[in-house]
Amino acid sequence: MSRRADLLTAATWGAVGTAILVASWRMNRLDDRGISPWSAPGLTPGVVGALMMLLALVLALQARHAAADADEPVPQPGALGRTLLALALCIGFAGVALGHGLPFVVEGAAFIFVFTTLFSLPVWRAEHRVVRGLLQTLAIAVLASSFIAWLFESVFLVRLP
Amino acid sequence: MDGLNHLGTALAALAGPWQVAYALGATLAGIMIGLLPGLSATLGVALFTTLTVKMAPNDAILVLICVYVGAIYGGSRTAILLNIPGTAANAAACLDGHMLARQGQAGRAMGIATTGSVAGSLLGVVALAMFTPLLAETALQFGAFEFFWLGMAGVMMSGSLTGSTPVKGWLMGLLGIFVATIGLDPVHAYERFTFGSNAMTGGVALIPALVGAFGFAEVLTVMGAPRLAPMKSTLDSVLPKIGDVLRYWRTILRSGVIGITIGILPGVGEDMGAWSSYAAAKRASREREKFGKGSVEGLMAAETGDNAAIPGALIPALALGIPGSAPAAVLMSAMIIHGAQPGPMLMVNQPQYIYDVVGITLVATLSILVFGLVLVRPILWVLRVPRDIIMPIVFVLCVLGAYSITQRLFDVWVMLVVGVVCFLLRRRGFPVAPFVLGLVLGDIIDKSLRRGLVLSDGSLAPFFTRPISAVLALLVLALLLSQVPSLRRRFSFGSQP
Repeated sequence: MSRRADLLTAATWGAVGTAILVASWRMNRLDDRGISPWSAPGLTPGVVGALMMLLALVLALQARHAAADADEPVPQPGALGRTLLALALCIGFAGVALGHGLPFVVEGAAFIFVFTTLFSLPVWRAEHRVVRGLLQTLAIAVLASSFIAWLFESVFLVRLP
Repeated sequence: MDGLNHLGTALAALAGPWQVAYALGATLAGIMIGLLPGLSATLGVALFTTLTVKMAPNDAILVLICVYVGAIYGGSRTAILLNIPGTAANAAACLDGHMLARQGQAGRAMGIATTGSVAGSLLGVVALAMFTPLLAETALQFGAFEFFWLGMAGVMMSGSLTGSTPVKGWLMGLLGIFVATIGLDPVHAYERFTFGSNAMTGGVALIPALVGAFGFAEVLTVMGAPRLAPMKSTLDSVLPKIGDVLRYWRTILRSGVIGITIGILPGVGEDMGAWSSYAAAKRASREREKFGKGSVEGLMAAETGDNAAIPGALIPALALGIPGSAPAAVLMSAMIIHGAQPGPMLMVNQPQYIYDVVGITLVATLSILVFGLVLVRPILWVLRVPRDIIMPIVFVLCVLGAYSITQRLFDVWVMLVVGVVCFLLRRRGFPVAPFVLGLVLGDIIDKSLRRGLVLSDGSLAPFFTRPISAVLALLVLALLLSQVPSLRRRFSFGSQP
């Protein structure tokens, strides 16, 4: 890990710890109910926030004293693009499309098909089997989604979104 | 005698055709989960928890333990064939297992892994049956002070031993404890950190959070990594040689004891069981120079150690309500979902339950023996399925797994948010296991701290002066002090082999 990135991470942890401590301190201590101040709801999160701040400080000190040549590892080519594509597809399916009209089995099949196709297309092109790949993926997507939907709906009695 | 009667009852209940089918099916599923790099035992147990919610309690726990044992065992396959551990617990098996495979002895290596796994599990089952009732009886004397320190020790140990630096592990543990405090406060039912949202009052449910941390985060990690070459391997005989077993019986016994002990330590887990057993075997071996170059003894030690840690991790989960590893934490939550109350009162209220778990672990061990000896080649086809097909299917299962317990889309969002946060943190070297321990133990830490302080009227003295509290407090203090550089140099505090 690079020293700068670790310092930034430590600062983020420090900010989170501070936010938790402040929110816990400002939390209602339920004096009006006459309860012991030692059982106030904000006690444990407050301690957690304070410890987070302390450890963030230790992390920052460790980062400052870390070897200067401890640089960021070289990222794999295309790794960021692949990760962002996977993230966009997953959030698009689970966070946006799910529960907004189409039956789950259709949404699931469409997600599996699009996901597999986008990631496999370069390989299919290189191996000159785009059409076969598309048809195989479509079959797998429909079968997998149908089986999963049947399993949850009919066997585990879950009302699908 | 009562114990034997309970064990007999448990085994008789497991002999039904459905139970045998559940055990074999779940072990096979667990082995496949373990085989696939990226899919962990924790994710397997979490996903199957959602699948088994509607099952009879003992059948559900049977399925979950079989998945757990199967996944840890299955991970050795990819470690041997591809030099990629299927689960973190199998990393130590890569060192010698893959070297044996490169020498054309992949089948022999798998046979040794099977022998070690079965031997480790069997030793662990004996320990589970013997020590759980004893520990539960001792724990009846524990109060809020002791439970606070037990919870803290679990989170601290997990943080110390699973990350690149303990500070990062501890921060993740604290994050888990904080997330556990979101929602209605368990003492006064006061809403904490809900920001006025009704959905948040129920808190962050464990299973969606775990599915996010181990499932969604893993999908993102795997898809960002370079594509793996498809597996090509020919196998020699996978039947273990009796000579290998007899020759290394001391290693098996030693690794079993180490694995069980590491498993019992709260929050440490199977991977440390494997590494510690491997290191101890290397120190004691007459063939030390062979370690890392295809040592049968090294592979045997690693696989015995990680599998012995599974029943070991169940001992504190059942007796204290403090899980020994991340998958055991999920399993403990599943037990709660199915009506059991792990902790000191379990032996008083449901003494049969502990022996049911012993019997189930024994059945799971026998199941991995069956698959290890009979179905090695057919099972390996799963490694030929490209990740581009497996990962979206895993994600669909993650989505439904998160959704199915309470059938709220809010839980799907919990899974997504936790998954993205854990993915980003893992990239910066923050381990996820302490987060899980914090999430599971957050409730007990919160309640015990506040109850303890109310009982002592704000005095911290009982946290440090009661005998068991003092020992646990010293343990936590030692873990903290081990990070002071000058002390670490002086005492050479624990370094992972």
